[in-house]
Amino acid sequence: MTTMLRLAAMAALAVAVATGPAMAAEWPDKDVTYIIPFNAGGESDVTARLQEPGFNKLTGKGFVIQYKTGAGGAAAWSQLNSLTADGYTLMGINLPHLFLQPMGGKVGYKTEDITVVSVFQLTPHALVVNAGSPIKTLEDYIATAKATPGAITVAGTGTHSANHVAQVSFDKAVGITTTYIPFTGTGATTAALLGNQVKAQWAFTTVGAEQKDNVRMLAIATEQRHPLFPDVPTFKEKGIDMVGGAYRGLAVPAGVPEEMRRRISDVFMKVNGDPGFVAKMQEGGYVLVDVGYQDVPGFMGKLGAESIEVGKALGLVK
Amino acid sequence: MKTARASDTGGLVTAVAMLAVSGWVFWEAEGYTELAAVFPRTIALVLALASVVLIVRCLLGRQRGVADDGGSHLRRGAVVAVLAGWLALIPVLGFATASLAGFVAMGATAHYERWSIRRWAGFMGLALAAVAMLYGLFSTVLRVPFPKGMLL
Amino acid sequence: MDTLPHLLAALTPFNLLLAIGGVVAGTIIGALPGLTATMAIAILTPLTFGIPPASALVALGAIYTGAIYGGSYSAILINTPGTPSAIATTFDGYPMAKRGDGDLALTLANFASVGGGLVGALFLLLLAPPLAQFALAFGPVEYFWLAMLGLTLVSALSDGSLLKGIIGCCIGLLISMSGSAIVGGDIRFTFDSQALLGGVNVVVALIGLFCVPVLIDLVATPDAHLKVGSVLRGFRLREALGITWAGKWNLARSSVIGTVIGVLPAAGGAIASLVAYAEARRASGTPERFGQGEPDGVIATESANNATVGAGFIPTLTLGIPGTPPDAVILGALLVHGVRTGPNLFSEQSQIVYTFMFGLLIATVLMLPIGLLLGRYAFRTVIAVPKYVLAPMIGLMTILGTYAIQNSLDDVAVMLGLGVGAWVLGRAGFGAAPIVLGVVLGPIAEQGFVQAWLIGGATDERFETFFMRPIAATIIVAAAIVAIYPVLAKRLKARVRNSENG
Repeated sequence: MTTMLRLAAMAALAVAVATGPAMAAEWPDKDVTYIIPFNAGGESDVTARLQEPGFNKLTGKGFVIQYKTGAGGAAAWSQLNSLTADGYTLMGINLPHLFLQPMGGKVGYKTEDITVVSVFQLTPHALVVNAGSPIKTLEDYIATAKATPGAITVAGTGTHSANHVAQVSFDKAVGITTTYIPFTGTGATTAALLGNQVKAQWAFTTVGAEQKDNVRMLAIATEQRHPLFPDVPTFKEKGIDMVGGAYRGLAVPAGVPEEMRRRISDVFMKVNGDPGFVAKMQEGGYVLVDVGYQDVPGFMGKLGAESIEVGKALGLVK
Repeated sequence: MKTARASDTGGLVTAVAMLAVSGWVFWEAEGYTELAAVFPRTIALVLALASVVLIVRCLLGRQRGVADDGGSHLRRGAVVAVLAGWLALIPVLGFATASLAGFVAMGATAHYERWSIRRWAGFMGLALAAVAMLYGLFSTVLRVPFPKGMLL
Repeated sequence: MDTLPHLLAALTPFNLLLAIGGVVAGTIIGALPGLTATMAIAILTPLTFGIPPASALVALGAIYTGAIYGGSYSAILINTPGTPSAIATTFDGYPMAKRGDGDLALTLANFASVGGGLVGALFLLLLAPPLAQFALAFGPVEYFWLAMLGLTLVSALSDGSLLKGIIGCCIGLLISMSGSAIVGGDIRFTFDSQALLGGVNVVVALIGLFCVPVLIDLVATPDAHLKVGSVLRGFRLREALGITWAGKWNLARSSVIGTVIGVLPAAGGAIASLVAYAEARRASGTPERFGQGEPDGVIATESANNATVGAGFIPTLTLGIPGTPPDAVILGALLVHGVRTGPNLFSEQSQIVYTFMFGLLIATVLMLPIGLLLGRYAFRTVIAVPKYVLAPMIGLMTILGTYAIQNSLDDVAVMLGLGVGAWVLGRAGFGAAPIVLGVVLGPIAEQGFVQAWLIGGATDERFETFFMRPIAATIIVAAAIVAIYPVLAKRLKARVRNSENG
């Protein structure tokens, strides 16, 4: 009896192994559900919508975009693994959120629980002031902060978010103290800067692209100057080792098989190369990043180590 | 119409419960960072004060209660039970099936007229149509993913 | 005038069709509890990707204004705000319906929505840039005091016992704090459950606190759900026109309040209608009638919330910052359409913007006939169906709608729990309105306070920050007036009466 069972199990396994790649190769054969953990209209949402035409060109299928907001993304990420693991449910992820949130307490998931399939986009940190501000350069900012510690109020979106990380890392690297004021949503944060409610804002290059002459970007956290802002120096140029920002990528429920994950990653990496998509992204101030499934572990490892340092600075890790 | 009574047991019980809640909030707030605790503590304080005043007024007989508006408590309980059962059955039977059952059961709780086969047949038809239409609208047009159960 | 071509562009048959379709779709979606204007727009946005941006904007704007108006249907007929902006409409709309004036309430809501929508759209067309600058001057302190102003409504909504109202409001405030704190990131009041990690969604709370108790009491007696006059009186147009004309200052003032608050980023129809209601009550000669079915209450709330539609587009189009949640979705849609939003939108893409603004005006005007017809249909349906059909229909729509907000069965459970709790509290004399007030205003009050605290603390100017900024000071005075005026007025009246009696 048991031999029969064993034979049956082996047969089933064989079928699964045989069809696995086949199923993956056919993916997608229907529209894919794309869950965004943030509000409609935000950077993650816009990115997904911009990816859709490229995705459609490649595969002939589209996205069904849904939102699951709350707790800065944690509400969605904590439910990721309970979703159907057939490869047709994808969830947007943001780094360093995935690292920092579990460090901060019980958020319903651990970083290892999230199966990241690819990371395709980066919005680099940007230190921004109002166009009318007396602070004209990064040096001015640092000097003012040193003269009046804590007096500079800097707005950012969320607590323990990418903006917060930027503020903490920068302040530590340069040896100043500024006061971080968290807001909900980029809109409210930028409004605070434009209205002079705060003296500066830790934002992303996307805000600079959007607000153009209303704001002055003091520096951005990229390796080289961004084509959209040729006059804005990088932190690196100024001698501050700050490169990075908020990364966006995709994750799937843990039960999705390997070939499927690779296939999803391949498709999205190809979308990253779509010229129409690239142009729109650059116009918006985004930076494209090509971390496919095979590169994810190395990437996450490096970012994870950096995040632990940040976590210590934020007081999340003892 | 609400007629006044001299004693307000409902208010008294609630006020005591709310006093307990405010105590719990204070206790919870111990574990929060400074700024995240400000508001909870302030609200809990206001809640505690208001509850105490209400308790005192009730005990002094100065607080008027709200009279019973009548109506069948049995049916009320039934409605709550139906809604809870409806929710519980969704992951088991599937959204549409559970909704069909829930729909019919709710109709029963609100049915006061006399029994008639024709009426029930008509009602069942309506139930099927309503559930089918709304479920279809939500799942196809609005693309809402419904939880899977045994049936639809 | 070079805007004439834009006006003509808005009047093309295609755009008119989109406007009509948008208003109809929006009204129906807004009327269904659980489906909000934001959801309507998010869901219907992909359908607009095939059409030119200006037309897409016209469609989305029409849906938006229809949805805000449609929320009044369920608010009036089943005491459930179809969208958060309709919360305050339940205060007087439902009592009117219960006593047989449901048709009148619906017509008034229609007139008020059209009136308010026109005011908001006109401000958008004519005064966008200065209003946008005003919006920017609103900082965390101002938001905090504005929320306080809204909270003074507690006394108006307490239905007899101010103490119980305060307790209810505190309960609502505590509910609003569940989830993660904006400053500090602490997870609060979630009982360690996944379900509450994102906090209690406002719409879920609305349906739970307002609709479920109504449903529970609906089945308890065989009496008709709403009283109906012996003769169905159609739209009661003449009556409604008379009341609206008598309340024209109320309409105007509430529309302006709605516009001003709608311009503020992240303040939407809910707060606008609450503040307008508070002010209408204060300014009325008969404030005690508010909450018992006073038509002026419906006029105030519905004109304010529709004014936020046009007003919300002001920061959205001039600054690229969304004025209300649906505007955020629309901004995203614009980006995908390839329209660069931000400060240069008016100059670079004036054709799109002006066509859209005229389209919004047209859609608002269209709401009048479309809304009256749809409203009559809704009214007829609700009063004609027997309870054993009405109850399950409401049950089905609320469960479906609540689930669809975030595709979460947990939300349905939260709704049910809140609903049963609200019913129990109702039996003890604690109304749902103060609780909802706390739930809606809590986040704004807390965030404003904590942010202002941090900002003020950075330069050690806490007191000045909180009390000495001009706009904030104005709001504080306004809040004080709204809170104290009724008490003073009563005392004054009593004194006059006493002196007359000798």
